[in-house]
This record gives sequence, structure tokens and C-alpha cells, in this order.
Amino acid sequence: MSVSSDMPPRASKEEMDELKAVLKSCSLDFRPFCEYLAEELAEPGHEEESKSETYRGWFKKGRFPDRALFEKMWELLRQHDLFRSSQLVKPQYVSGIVDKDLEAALVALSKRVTDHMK
Amino acid sequence: MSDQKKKSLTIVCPSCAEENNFAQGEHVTSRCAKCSASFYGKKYKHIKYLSAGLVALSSMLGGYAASEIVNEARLPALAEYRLMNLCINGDPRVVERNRYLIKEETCSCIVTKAVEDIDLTWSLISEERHQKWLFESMKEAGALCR
Repeated sequence: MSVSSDMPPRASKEEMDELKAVLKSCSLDFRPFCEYLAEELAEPGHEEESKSETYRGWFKKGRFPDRALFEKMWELLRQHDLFRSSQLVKPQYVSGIVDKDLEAALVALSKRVTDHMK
Repeated sequence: MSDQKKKSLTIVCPSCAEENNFAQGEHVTSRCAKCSASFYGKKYKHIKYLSAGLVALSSMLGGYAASEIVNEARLPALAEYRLMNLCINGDPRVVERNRYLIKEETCSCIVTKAVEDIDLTWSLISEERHQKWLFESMKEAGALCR
């Protein structure tokens, strides 16, 4: 049985673990953070509905949001005062601008540099 | 470069852009042959052209225009920015701010060394190996910058 290619790409377990670890280090709980996200993304006047339905369960173990929502989570977290004062940096770049092979090689290089610093 | 060029001196007039050519041994005049502006009071420096290797790297980074590659032996600003940006931010994992600052310095060192290497040794590498070698060059520079 093949996996449907229509499924939007999702955040990986490692990425979600990293997000949760950063939230924890900022003294933020994941569930209220998801509700805050739902409120932010909701149509005006539909905040409660969004909180209770649209994003219900994203804080549950083993549930991984699609990549667009995951990016939104980070966008929101980056703007949070507790993250801004946390001495942590979440690197960000826009992919697909440079030659594909060169980009892959430089991303690998970037990971090697980070690993070497740890 | 042709032998004739090697044995001549060309001063491009800073006032009118006229090329004033002097053969080896010929008296070099202090004024432009066209507009008579004086060549004194200016500093003249050899123009180094961007090497084929750096032009190729710039093309892959999508950050150059033909007009930008004539007179500097370094990557155009946009290409250099993209190279640095990928080295620093290509790995999306969260890092502590002080480590991020160290990474910025490391990547600056890597890019500087790789660009020097590409500029100096590009002509020694066969054409089919160029792309692979560009990446190797970055990798080798990475090892030198730690």
C-alpha cells in the first residue's frame, strides 16, 4: 500500500521535540501555546471555535502539524517576549533561491559547523 | 593576456574614460591625450578580474549581474550574502545566541578561505569536476576555520 502524495508534508518528531524543548526552556506550556496559536490564526470573532475545534489535539503526543502550521508556530514563538529574552536563536533562511545542489551542500556544511560547536 | 598587452601600459583617464596606451620604454605623459586632464593627484591600482571559478559560483548563487563582475576579485555582495546566509542559517536547529555569534565568525572564515581557494586554483581543475570541487573547497575551508 502506498502513502498518498496528497498529504501535506509534516513536521518531524525531532522538530516537534525541539519546539517543545524551547517552549519548556521559555517556561511556556505547549497546550496553551497551541491555543494561543489557534486564536491568532482564527477569523475575527471565531477565536473560541478555532481553539476548540480547528487545532484541537495538536498538543497531544504523536500528533505532528503540517509544515505550514509548524512554521506558523515558530513565527509566533520568535515574536514572544520570553523567547526573545531567552538567548536562543532559531536560524531561518528562504530555500529554493540558489542552485539546488549547492544549497544541499551548504546546508550540510552548516550542520557540520553547528555539530562541531556542540 | 597577449605579449603586446604585457609590454604596454594603459591608463584610463579618470575624467573622460579615454584609454591612453603607452608601449614599453615609451615616455608616459602626465596628461590625457584626449581631454588633457592631469593624471596626477590620483592613485592607480591594477584591476583584478573575477576568476572563472568565482563567476561560476556567483551564477549558482544567482547573485551577480554581468556589470558587477568586471573589477573585483570577490563575489558580488548578493552572492556573498547568500553564501554566508546558507552557511549560518542553513541548519535550522536552535542554537544559543553566543554559539550563533561564533558560527557567524566561522562562516565568515569559511567563505573567505573558500573564495580565495576558488579564485587561485580554479584553472587547475578539470571542467567536469568544477561543481564537485566548489563544494569540496567549502568543506576544506570549514576544517581550517575551526
